[in-house]
Amino acid sequence: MLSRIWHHCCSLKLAIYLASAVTLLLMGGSLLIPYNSDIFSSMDQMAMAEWLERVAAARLGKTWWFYLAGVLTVLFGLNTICCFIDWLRQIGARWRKSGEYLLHLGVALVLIAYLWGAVAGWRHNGMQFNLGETTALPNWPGHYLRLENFQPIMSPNGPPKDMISSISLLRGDQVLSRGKVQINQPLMYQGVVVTPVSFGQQPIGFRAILSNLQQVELLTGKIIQLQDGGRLQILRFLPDVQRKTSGEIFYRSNSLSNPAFELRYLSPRGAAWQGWYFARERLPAELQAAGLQIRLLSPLYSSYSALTVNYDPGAKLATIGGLLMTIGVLLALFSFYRKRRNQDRPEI
Amino acid sequence: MTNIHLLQTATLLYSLAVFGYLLLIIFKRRWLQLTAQTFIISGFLLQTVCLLWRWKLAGFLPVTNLFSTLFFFSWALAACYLYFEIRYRIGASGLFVMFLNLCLLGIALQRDAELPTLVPALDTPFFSLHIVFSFLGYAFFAMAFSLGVLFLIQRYVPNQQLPRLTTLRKLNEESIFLGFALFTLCMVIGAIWAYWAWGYYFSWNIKGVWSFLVWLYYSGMCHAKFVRRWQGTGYALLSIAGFGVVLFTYLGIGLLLESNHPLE
Repeated sequence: MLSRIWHHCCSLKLAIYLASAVTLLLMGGSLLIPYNSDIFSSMDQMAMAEWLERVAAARLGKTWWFYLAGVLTVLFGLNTICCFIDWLRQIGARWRKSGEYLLHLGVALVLIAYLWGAVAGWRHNGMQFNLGETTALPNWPGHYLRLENFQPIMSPNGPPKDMISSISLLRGDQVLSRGKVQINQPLMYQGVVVTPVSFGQQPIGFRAILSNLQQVELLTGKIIQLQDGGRLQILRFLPDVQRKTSGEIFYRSNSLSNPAFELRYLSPRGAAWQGWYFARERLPAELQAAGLQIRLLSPLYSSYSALTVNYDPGAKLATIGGLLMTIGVLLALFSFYRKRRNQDRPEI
Repeated sequence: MTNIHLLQTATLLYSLAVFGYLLLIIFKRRWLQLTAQTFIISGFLLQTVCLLWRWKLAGFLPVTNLFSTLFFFSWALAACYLYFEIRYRIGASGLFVMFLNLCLLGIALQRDAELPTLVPALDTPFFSLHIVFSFLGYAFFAMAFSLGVLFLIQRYVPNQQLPRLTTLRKLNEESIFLGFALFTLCMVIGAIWAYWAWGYYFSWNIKGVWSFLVWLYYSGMCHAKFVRRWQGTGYALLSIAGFGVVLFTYLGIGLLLESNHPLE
């Protein structure tokens, strides 16, 4: 009975049926991909398990085929492993098929690796890192990425040829890895891979003239000592805000549509005021009453680098699988020609 | 003389070879076969020189738009044909492949042959290897298609000029096996490159999915040859259907659908 089940698990026909079913399902289902970008365009931006849970589960009418193809692929992978084990048991008589069965093992390892990455991995696609800042990685608590330097290499006719980001990967204050990330040269650290996506500039404040013709830079965190002895602190700069009727302020975008500063003013006598200054409106009455004038001159920008930070614990296993597939194919080719030369089973 | 003149001359030589093989079917003269072979070898050499010339001019293997991929596919097909011709003397059995080759060149020569600028992500040896193995794989699948058609012709309308059914079957199986082996290398290299460039080794873009399907389909065919019921006619039909999948993956997706492998 057990022998019959095992024989069935290793069966060539089962492999062909499963591969055919997966092929037909993916052929039909994949044609939905270009026409339903709201569902499928995020597949590469999230780990597969997250995509299945957050996106696919909500649109089962158009994604059911994917679940079915996934189950059949897992069965196909199990069948491949069974075939490999069966070959191992009879390796004495079938060693000349080593190439073919290394290929089987490679495929099985790649499938296991993908499944592992799909369940335990995570992806941050095109995350924005500002120059000189340390940014937390949301899916990896306690870990940060710092953009230390950024240099775009432009081609003579305009488009960028490369984007070189010098980064540090940190656990708390401890540097885990440091290096340069550029096109086709990622930073890799224990399953984490950082690749470049794009870059740009974002407004971070304004150059301004104060009432006494003093020229200053209004940047987040900056404290300006005024000539009358008072102090002006820039608590926050937001390039584009929306003000609700309740008075609450919401960040809207990174374009300079409606910039605003959150300021704290400390008068020489120690009285404090804190509030918002909307650049398109007059200076708040409290600041005007204190004799302060601010004339904005020009916006200040900072470079940012958009990077993809992915974690795939199965990547190493997939590499081993790919290597075995390559060796398997080369051995199979060698064995094929050897058999032909020796007229050994010339029909195969 | 420009590199395109070389390509035009190669096309002319291939056309003469096809004409020679057609005459061979009617007149069955040995010298016709030798002449056709000479035309193909000369055409292939000219096309190789043209490819190397364009490679030197561009500074990279120029296979990034429709013209250059059609050109490279055609070169790979001619190389594949020569492999079978030199190894097995298949003669007029390569007629379909050479006819397909002419179709590819016919379409290519109507398009802009200017060398495209290279997208930075493609500036890596991984890309060149990925493309070379991919089109060599496609070429063997095209050869299998041709041999599949010939198998069916020989089976239902026997012809003295065509090889025996067992030979056609053997050649078809070899073509599928070699195509699968090369396409496997293409997939492995593509996966490594994707991981380095984008941080994942498999993309759920439609091109990625269909490339996997091509691989899965032909891996199924490598197994199907051991199933008695699928040997012969069934295998020939699968070879023909498989080439449909290849054409859709290469041209259908690149031209009709939005993908990460656009053809312009």
